[in-house]
Amino acid sequence: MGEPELTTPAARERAAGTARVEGFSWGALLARAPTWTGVGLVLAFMVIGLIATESLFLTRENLTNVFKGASINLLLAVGTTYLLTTGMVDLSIGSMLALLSMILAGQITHGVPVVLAVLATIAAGALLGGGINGVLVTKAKLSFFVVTLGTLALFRSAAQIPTNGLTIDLFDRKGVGLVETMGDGEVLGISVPVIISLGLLLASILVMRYTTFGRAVFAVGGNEAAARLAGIPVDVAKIGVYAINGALVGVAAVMFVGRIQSASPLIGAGIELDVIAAVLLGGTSFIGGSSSMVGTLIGVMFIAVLQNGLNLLGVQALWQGVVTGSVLILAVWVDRIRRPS
Amino acid sequence: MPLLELDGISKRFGGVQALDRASLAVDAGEVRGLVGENGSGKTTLLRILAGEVPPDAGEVRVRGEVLPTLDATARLAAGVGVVFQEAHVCPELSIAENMMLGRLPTSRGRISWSRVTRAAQRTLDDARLPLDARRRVRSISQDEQHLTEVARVLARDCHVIAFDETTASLTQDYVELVFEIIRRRREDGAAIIFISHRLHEVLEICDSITVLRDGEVRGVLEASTATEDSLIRLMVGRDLEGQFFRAAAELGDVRLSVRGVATEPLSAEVSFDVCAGEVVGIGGLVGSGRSELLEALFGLRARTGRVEVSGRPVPAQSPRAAIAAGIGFVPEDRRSQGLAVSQTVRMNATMVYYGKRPLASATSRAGEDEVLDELTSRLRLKAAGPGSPVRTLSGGNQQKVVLGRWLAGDPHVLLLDEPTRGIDVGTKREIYALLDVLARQGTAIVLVSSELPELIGLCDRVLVLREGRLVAQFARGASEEELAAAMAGGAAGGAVPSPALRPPTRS
Repeated sequence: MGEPELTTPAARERAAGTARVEGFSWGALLARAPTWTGVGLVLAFMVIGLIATESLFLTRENLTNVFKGASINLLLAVGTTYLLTTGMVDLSIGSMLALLSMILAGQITHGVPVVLAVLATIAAGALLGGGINGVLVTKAKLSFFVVTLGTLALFRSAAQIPTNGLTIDLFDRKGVGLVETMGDGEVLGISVPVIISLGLLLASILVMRYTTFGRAVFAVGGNEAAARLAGIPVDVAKIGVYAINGALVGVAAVMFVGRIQSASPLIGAGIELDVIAAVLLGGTSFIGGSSSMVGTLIGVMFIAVLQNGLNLLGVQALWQGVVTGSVLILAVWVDRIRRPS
Repeated sequence: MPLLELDGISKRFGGVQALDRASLAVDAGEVRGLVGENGSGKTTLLRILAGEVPPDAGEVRVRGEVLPTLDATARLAAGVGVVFQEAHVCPELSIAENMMLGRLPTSRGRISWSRVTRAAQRTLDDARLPLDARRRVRSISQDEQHLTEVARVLARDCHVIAFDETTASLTQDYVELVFEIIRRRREDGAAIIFISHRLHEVLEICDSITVLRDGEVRGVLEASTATEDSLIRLMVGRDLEGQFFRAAAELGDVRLSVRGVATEPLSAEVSFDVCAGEVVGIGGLVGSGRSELLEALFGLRARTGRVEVSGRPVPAQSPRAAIAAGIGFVPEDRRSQGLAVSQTVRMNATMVYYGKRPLASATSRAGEDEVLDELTSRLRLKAAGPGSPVRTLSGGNQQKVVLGRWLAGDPHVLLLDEPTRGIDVGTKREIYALLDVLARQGTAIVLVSSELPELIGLCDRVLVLREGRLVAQFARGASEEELAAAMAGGAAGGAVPSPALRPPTRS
């Protein structure tokens, strides 16, 4: 974090003394390293290994695919990082993704101008997240698990009802340029969805570090009762993270629709588990109060590169869950061993 | 050969040397007191004895046999039992099940619940603990939960028993019960370690006393010849004098005005005023409603009546409104209500600062540093740095963080609930001195405490609550006996309160 190390003269003296006695220590270095160090190193080794053995890996086409594929997961993972920092999750993001993509496609087929439709979709995400999930968790004082498990089913049904479960095709439709650009476009040779997701990640890093809201999010996750007693508006902060998460799902939905040029009420099923896995892999604590947006990026990239590597190596898709699942458990386990108690 | 030997134990947590070659030997039939300021290493020593943390150096021997580190089962086999400061009980299980957990008696492969209950009840009755083994732990009081923790160790028939601040949260009757248990186990030939911040208790129950300071043993005293003063000198390395911790202050205008306030457990309305510069104590037994009164004033529970700060009414049921009105609150349980222990000193200390700012505002390094300055300069916080997790701080320093976060905003009114519970003598004096400074600067302080010397030595007035009623008010200089009598409802209950309790006017 780059905190100034010592404050009191006594502490400074003591530390100076011990520093002389102890000298350099790998243990101390390891304890200070960010929580995602281990995963980051393994990711680096994996990339080096793939470059060395798979000639297809380092092609422009392959890398673009990896990054584009990861960008939607990254957006969702950023939202989940906000939530996990407060000690909550949103299990309904997969269903929300499908519902919002249907809302977007529905507006477009009904002739709503595309800019308006995109904005309305993102706003609808914030409303579904903050206004439904967030309000039920804070004002009705229900468990986030129960609420979002309920809305997981609810949003999925709501996505299917308008078209009887059928896909809305936007292929070759006029006036959807913005959606296409957001999902699949390029600017100066760089993929637009990658730019959008990295931009929102950067914004989130700043929000978490340099705003009072960010401090409130950490305080609520660290100890909700203490935060309340300190005058932090706990409910507003919680509704806020659900709304932000919903808005990010909204952006992801636009990107998804743009990429496949259609909206399906069936997309995103089970994606919440992949997303939570990536965030935990990045070193964010499951019980709240500590998280890392940078770690989340590394966690998402780790899973993306791993899956890409398995594809290139010709490992059957059916086996990929075994690998990613084991890696997740292993990574969290290693982190546990590294930090006693 | 001593029954229990802790030999040359060293332990380091990060940058802090918690224990430095500490040794302790206790004979069968001996009660050994273990005293020292917070952070002196007492609890760490017990955790090593219990096998919860491994020592960096040194060994634990029972009857000359070395106990393996980090092996709770070996402890049980060797008859070592530790009663920890915080009750380690499962709230959803019965008292009996908690006591017998891990070795529930079975018949033909099935747990025999009647035998569980009978065995547990027998242990409770033998120890003369007034508990019903069948009751669910969640439904019993905090005091009784602590006794359950004691009973669990008793049920295991241990020869080496350690008590870590067991009496700190118990009311006087229960303390006597625990003392009775210790005396009987001593007669049975057990080796007992007794940790308490209440030195008179240590002198009363122990045969000998080991004093720790900064992780080192500073002396072993015979309880028959030791005095509180001699212990304190060894503990803090300096003399502490005086029964009064602060001089009577000049009183200003009324800062906090409480009129006809009633809340859930209070059976009658409460009215009183607190002036700028005044420290008003609230005494009462557990269950008298003292904590609930503070919580109601701070907006944490529904209330009737009127609360004003400097003449302006404070809306009920909103801590944020109370804070905006200038009220600060230090809760009773700092770990569950005060701190995010895994987070840094900086994060914890600035919680109030950021609580007052709009969510959509940028953080301010300067504002944070101001709060941290208050902590290090006025409260002399001992921490490796603002970036170290609060978890690594001693209890006294943790409390400084909880208290210190209110200082930067200069609160008009400070409500403190047991601000020195489980804190060492030296840190207590520092907190007393700080409260004195705050009062002199015009803060009105309301202090709930179960320690009579604290109420007497610190407060300009003491209000006594009994069974949800304000029953008495004492001016400065009341005796412990008078206060205790008013709390317990004895014949010598103090002065009858006037309808609106105002501070005594000075001539």
